[in-house]
Amino acid sequence: MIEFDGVSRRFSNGHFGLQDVSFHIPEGRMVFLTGHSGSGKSTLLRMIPALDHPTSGQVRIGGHDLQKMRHHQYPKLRRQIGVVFQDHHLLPDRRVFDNVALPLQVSGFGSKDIRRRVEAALDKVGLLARQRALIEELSGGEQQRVNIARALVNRPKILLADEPTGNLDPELSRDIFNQFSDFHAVGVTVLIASHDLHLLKTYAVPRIVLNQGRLSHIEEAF
Amino acid sequence: MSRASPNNLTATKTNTKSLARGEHALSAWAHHHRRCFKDALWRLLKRPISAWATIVTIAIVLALPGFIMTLATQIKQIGGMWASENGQMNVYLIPSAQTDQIQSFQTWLNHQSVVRDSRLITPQEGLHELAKRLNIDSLTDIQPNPLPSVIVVHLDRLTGDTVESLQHQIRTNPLVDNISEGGEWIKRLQEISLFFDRLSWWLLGLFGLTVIFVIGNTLRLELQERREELSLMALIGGTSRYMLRPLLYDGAITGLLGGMLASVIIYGLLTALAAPINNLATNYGAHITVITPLLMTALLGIIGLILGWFSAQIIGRNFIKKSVKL
Repeated sequence: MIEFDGVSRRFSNGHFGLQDVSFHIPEGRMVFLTGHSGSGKSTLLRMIPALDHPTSGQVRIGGHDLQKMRHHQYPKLRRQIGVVFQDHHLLPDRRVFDNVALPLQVSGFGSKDIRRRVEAALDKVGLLARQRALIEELSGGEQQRVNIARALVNRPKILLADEPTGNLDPELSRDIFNQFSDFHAVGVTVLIASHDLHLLKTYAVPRIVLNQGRLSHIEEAF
Repeated sequence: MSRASPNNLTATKTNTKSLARGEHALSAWAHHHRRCFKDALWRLLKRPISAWATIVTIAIVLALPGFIMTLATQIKQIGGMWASENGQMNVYLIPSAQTDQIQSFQTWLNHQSVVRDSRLITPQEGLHELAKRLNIDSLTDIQPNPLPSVIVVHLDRLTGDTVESLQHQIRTNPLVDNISEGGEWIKRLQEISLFFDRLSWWLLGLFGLTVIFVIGNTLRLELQERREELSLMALIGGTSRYMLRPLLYDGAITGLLGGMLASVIIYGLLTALAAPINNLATNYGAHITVITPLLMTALLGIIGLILGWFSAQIIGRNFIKKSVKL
């Protein structure tokens, strides 16, 4: 499903964000991406929805080589990928419902479908009762759950999360990770970048470990 | 990690296509347009001072060429009406012109579209008129009569071009010795009108560019504020067209309101100047019909709307291309 083949990313200042990284994540697997700050986790994640591009090597998603894709094809690719960020990326002046509905509106769903799907997604993350609330009225944990609901509302094939529990307390972090596990259980391919080794160790999930932009090693599930 | 090559993306692409084909996609598209329209109005209400400052600037910028254009129309009307009432041209024929030749020439003249009618003054009639005007009866006894036959041509609703064309055709006729420059004043009036007409179009072009920049600058500020939202749209699969749509509504509505306000300013100016303009028109024996406010509002509104839409296209596309990772 997600395939990196000799991928390097060199920035304009000459620094390598990624260097010769190769791995393959089959469909429906859940994988953690770990490494210290600056190890290249975010750079790697940004390449999957074609927000960044390798300077050499190939990134293939669902068998499609992203470098051979045209710009106008990116939106279709991105509609198949749910992304959860540490800093939420929510629209503060809109309500919870409107934030979660965004990917469906962009994909051209009708209003009835949007209502049905948004309510289902919010129900899944336990925020159905707060659908009319403004984002700024929510706590950090609730905002992150809105973020997850928005990433999943479009029923993506791939879910990417970049430090999704960075600002949350351990209990909430565990709750969020459990939700990711639930989505993995229904066939979604999940890739979570995190440096919270303590939390990651509680899950029997393979780990791709990056170190200074290079693939250090891959730890299979234990 | 095992190697596998599932091709889910292809399958999901097909789903998206089939969705796009359905009526849901059409209704979602229409819904997005409605939402963009409502949001654009809401943004106007949310920031009334900055929005209306832009609209008033556009109105003033569009009012000047609009006003000059209206003046040019009035001058044209005065020229046309005066020509219709009083315009005439005297055609002096050569002494050897025969009666049947003169008659056929007069018939030809009467068939010209800009000629209302014509009257033949024979040399004898001319001499009688002259004697009567000078009050010298013995003038009628002059032999041989030195006056030529004259055809007085009454002109109808002329423009400078048609006067010139008719004069040229008459001059090249072998029966014609000379013609009076009776239509010269119309030509001058039409030239003034043409000057104002061209000036107004040039100003409209120039000020139209100004409108594009004014709207563009407002939109650029708005885009800076919405940069994160646009990045998010791109991340969740929004196309550049989808992201651009709200901006097009912002630009078009701002331009439309600016154009409509410009028509109010012009109508106000015309109303204020109505008395002196009508006095001037009366001196030329003409009556002014001011362009109806509704027509002017519609015209300037459409011009404003197009300029606003165009501005949003340029600024929006450029911003999205440079600032949003597509």
